[in-house]
Amino acid sequence: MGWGVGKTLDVGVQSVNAMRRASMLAAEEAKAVNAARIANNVETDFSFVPQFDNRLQQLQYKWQGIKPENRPALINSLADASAGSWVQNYQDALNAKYPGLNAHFVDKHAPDIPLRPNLEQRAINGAHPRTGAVGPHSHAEKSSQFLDWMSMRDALDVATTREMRGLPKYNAANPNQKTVFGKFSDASGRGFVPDPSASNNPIFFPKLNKWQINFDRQFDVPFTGYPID
Amino acid sequence: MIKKYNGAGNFIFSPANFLVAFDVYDREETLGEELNRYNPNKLEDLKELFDQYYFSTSSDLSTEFKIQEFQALTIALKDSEYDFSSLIPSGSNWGSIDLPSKWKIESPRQFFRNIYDIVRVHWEKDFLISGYIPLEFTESD
Repeated sequence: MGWGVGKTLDVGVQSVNAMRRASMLAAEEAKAVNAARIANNVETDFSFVPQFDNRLQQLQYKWQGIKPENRPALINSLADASAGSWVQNYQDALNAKYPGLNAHFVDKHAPDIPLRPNLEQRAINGAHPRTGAVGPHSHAEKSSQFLDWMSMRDALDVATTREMRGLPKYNAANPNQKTVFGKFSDASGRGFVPDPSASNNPIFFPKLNKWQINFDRQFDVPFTGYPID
Repeated sequence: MIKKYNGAGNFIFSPANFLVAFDVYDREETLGEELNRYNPNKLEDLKELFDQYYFSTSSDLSTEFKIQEFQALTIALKDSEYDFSSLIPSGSNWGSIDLPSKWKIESPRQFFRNIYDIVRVHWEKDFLISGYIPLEFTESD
């Protein structure tokens, strides 16, 4: 089974949407600042290099032209991009420390994976949501993603710090299941489950507010995490 | 915002819990292919599967838990009406686990009967120490 007609596979390799949004906003703001400076005849000498006594001054200069209404969106975008880096670094660190673990939060459940066809296709024929690769024994699988990096990071953070907070390492009802379940107060994920009666039309869940993080049975560290209903 | 959430509800002792070690969701290409090499319908293969993937990673289970799990399996096997096919996960809902794609359980009842034999031998010491005597099966069971 191939990709649907008219659908384009976007592998989205580390294309952090939040980063893109942040850089677009920053570019927009920089343009506005420059325009204001030119209009007010400030710094028309382009050889002028501002000097700062400290980091705060530098940041105040950098963002002096930002509109108040754009500030929350910009801060959120940067925070989300930072969370994306955290998740990626966490995954890389785990894989470096535990050979064979193959942790893949980002590969299969990250917010930058296109909903269709990538995420949906996994629930149709088991294709890898990032690469589109179909294995020799692939079959339809539930397929979900976090809506933003911050939710993904928070879920991982909560799931991996339980012992530090005086809680049992796992909270799955089955003591033999090495899983932590959690819940957000609002929707933080979306996804598909295969429909046995209509294999080409998996059931779409636009709002998922629970999540589960699965831990490796041998190493006792997480290898995947995804939103569930 | 993370909400306080107390796991996945109440735990029910069920024969299906023995399958949790063979969940390959998100590891279809690695663990899934590794487990696909086994035929779970064969007692020898199933024994190896339990030794390698279940018992080796379940050392911290309490004796009480083992007894209750084993009892649930025994009671189900004693019930000739018990539908063991309903315990084989389909993977088509959020909560279910995914078994390796090539595993086709030919006779679910026999499959769980084999699990009974394997688990009983492996947990025998725990049962003896706690004084638990498993129910015996005859050929007709």
